[in-house]
Amino acid sequence: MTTDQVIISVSALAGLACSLIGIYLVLRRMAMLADAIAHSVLPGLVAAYLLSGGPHLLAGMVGAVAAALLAVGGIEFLKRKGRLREDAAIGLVFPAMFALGVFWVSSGYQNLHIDADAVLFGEIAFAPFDRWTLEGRDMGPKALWILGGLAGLNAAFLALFHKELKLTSFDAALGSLAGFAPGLIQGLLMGLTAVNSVAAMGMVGAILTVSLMVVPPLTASLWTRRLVPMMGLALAIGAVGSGLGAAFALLWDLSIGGSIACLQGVGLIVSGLVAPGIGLRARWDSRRRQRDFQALLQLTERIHHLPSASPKELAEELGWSPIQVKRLLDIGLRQGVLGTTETGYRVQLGR
Amino acid sequence: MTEWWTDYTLRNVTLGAVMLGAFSGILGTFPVLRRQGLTGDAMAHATLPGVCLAFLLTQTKSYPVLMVGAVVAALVSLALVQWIQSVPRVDPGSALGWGLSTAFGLGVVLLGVVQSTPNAGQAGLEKFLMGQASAITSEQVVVIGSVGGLSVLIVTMVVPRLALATFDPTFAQTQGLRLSYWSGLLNALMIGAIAVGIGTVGVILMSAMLIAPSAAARQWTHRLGPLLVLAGLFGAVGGLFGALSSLWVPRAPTGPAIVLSLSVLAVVSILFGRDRGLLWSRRRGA
Repeated sequence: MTTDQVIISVSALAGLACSLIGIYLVLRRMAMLADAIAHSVLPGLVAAYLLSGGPHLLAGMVGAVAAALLAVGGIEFLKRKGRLREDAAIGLVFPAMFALGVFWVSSGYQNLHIDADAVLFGEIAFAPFDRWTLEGRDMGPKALWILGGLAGLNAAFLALFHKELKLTSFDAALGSLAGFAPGLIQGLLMGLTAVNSVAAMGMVGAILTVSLMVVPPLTASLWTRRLVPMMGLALAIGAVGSGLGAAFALLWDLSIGGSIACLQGVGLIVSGLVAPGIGLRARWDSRRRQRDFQALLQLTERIHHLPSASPKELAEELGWSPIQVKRLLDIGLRQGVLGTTETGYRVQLGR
Repeated sequence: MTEWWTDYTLRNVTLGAVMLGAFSGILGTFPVLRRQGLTGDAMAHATLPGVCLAFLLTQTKSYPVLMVGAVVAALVSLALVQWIQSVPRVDPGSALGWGLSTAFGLGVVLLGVVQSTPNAGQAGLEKFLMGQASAITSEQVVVIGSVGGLSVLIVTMVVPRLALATFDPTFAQTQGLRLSYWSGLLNALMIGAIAVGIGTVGVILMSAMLIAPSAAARQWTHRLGPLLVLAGLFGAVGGLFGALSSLWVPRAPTGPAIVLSLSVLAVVSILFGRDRGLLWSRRRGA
């Protein structure tokens, strides 16, 4: 693979993995909590780096999960004992932890493998050059393996806990009555969010992580109300959107993470405008239904007076195009306000 | 002590950080009370593309010009986030996550474009990410002082009405208060505070500047007047301490330093707060 192909496929894979976990973050309305986790894993990563004496994948993940659970615990504690509301609790905890991480990275340990720019913008551009060698053999870019494993882990979590996740997300009270542990599911989801955050931070930076996780499922939720189609759509949007964003970035020499976030964000705007049942599309649809209703009234009135008129004659009578008359006749027949006779049409009571 | 006022950098940093902390603390109190603290976070992130665009269009690094860009970008992002929040099935948090990541993504793209242009004056725009207190100019101090002072003056003049609109919107409406007008004013003041603050704290951590002082002050009082005063005080102390410590620790960015000192204040307040702090409620047996 060329380096460009590696970057595009790494982006697509990161989009896929993150939207897998993001589906339930959106459904459980935890988007900003996920953003908080994405920021809070940083001091955990730095601590793990110092304790294990270098970049170590497993230690980093453990540190990240520990930091995320600390942040979530802190937010819960502030809500209960500090009597702050959720937004203030989140807004107090994650800047503190992120600031600690950035301060740590940029002041004391300048020989650290992670630097402030990598934390903010990610290093997806270097993905093709960081390769995994197994017993002297080049196995390809490390990022592809890590993200592939992560996508598998996320998919396994969703598949194993499909029932539990669905129930606790849509009806938490029933979930706990039925004996599922909502706390455990929530904890697992947050731990997994932390692990995904680390991967996403490495790719696009801490701040754009929420774009990879939250925006594709949110966009998908505008197009369908059913869970499984929404999941499929979210994965497609996550993978295709991120891949395309990276491709555009490479084409015009832009920041890769920024370009992915822009594209995903614009996707949501477009969906908000044209998705059925919401936004502009809903307004167009309802206006069109109204117009059709009025035209159908006129048409039935004509048919009532001229029961044996053919569609062509009706069109001439009303001064409309034959296509328009045909369309309205079909609507009338479907709604049951029109019926057919041997000679033409008749007005009848609707179903 | 005299060196404090004769040293150009030290004086600007001290003045700028104290004023900025006090103003953001006071102006951030109302968004926190209205549960909109994270809206401030999204708008702060959204100022980055505005700053970059303002620079690209004018090719100047004049602070007021960049601030205009920041204000416009924050307004646009606020309008878009509110529109997305109005779409059925979208919860407010997801819309904020979308707004901040999309706007920041655009900002990162534009920052890359700025950095690839050959204009020598462009160096330093990335300081808006994490803030840099040591770069506070006397021009910036004047802007911070005038914009912030004016905002706080407006707030003190209308505190009773703001309190009514915040705590009991329904009653406020029966009294003839136009809520859209007052929430518009509060949003405008918050955007002003953000635009002034991003030069020192940076866009990423600006929200802490709005939230942490009033969250800390909330632990000491339940009355609005003292809350505003305390939030201003905590903001000033945290801002000053953070800005100065970032001057002394080599290579430390200012934003994180200020946020860390504000967080220490918040933790101390939560432990020892007179009105609702942990130790007091334990002694009362609550």
